[in-house]
Amino acid sequence: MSAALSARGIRAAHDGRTAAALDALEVAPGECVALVGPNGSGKSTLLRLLALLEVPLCGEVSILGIAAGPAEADRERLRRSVTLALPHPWLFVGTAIGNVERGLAARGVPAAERRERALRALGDLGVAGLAHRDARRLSTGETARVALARALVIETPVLLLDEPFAHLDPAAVPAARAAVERRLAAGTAVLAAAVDPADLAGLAARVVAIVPPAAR
Amino acid sequence: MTGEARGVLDLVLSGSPEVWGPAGLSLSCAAAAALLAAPLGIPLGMLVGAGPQRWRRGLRALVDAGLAVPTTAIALVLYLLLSRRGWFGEAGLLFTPAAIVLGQTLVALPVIVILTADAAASLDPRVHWTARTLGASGPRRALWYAGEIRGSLVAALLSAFGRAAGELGVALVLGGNIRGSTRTLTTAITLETARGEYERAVALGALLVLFALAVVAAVRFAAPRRAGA
Repeated sequence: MSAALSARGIRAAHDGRTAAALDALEVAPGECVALVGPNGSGKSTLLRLLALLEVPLCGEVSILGIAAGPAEADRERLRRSVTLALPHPWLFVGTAIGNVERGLAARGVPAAERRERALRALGDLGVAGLAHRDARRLSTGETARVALARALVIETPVLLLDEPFAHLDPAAVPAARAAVERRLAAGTAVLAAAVDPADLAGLAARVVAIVPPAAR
Repeated sequence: MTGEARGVLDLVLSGSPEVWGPAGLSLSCAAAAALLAAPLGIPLGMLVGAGPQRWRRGLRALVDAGLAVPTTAIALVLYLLLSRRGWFGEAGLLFTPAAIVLGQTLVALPVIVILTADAAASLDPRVHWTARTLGASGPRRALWYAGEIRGSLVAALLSAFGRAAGELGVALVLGGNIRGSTRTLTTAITLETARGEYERAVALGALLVLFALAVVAAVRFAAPRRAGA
């Protein structure tokens, strides 16, 4: 089966030095790969390159076999097939459910269906009770769960998670893992970054270790 | 209290049409100008502050230049266009409140664009990443960003209103300072001072300052609180 997400020789520069580098990566549909490296090794930067949020200095990122070129219009189209959940997520003004609905609204999902799917996604992560709360007044752990629901609900073929469980209460982790596992079962390719591979044990089938740029 | 001060106060408090007429026109023209400039200025500001990189610098230079053009110069150009022999002379707008509103819209526009652009440019990078990774197109992202900076947008609108209400060039050149029709606070002050009617000039000036202070207070209230402030 061909890779849903692949990258070759990508480099990101920051202030003239290499901030992140990844020689080769392939994630197949339904597969979960762990991207592991210490703090400062450039995991978050790489995930932003793979999410097509930033353009790599060199190398190539492909989503569903289509290489992302430099043209913004093409990248915007490809971005519909990949989403990234940030480690310190940003919730927009409004309610928690309003946040979860945003990605669906961007895809033209009708209002009634949007609400129903968003509510189900919040429920999957055990935060259905927060649906109508002000998103800006949620705790760190609640914010992380709402943001994860927001990323999962759009059901992109490629899902990038940056330290998905690091900011969750231990009690909230099983539900979050189960929600990711359901996406995997549905054929989503998942790449999750973590400092400690143990965080992703039982979820990730493979580990890709990245070397801090300074050590190269 | 001196006789002059009492005279000024009486003029304001008695609701004299010579004072409150121009005040009403100043406020309504400036408000209309700010509201008309907003639907153009806010999207343009989004483009300058958070749009495609290749457009940002050129547009910003253009808008900065727009803010630097004296209001009297804007008025002069519009005068030539609106005068009987101008391209838009047929419309018969010259020396009407509509002409003042039109001119003040151009005066208000760069203020709204610049303040919107600055607010959009200072958005947390996560806002951009999140909006993009959720699949939002350019116009939808602009809408989402506007929600994040809505306090700054209100402040931009108020500042634009303040600039329009306080300017003289457009009101004088395009309005013509016609008593009971196009006389604004600034043109009335100019006239009363020239005529030596200082009591009336001071009453008008006091109202103008009062409105300006009200705008400043409203901006402070609307603008997002700085962290730690």
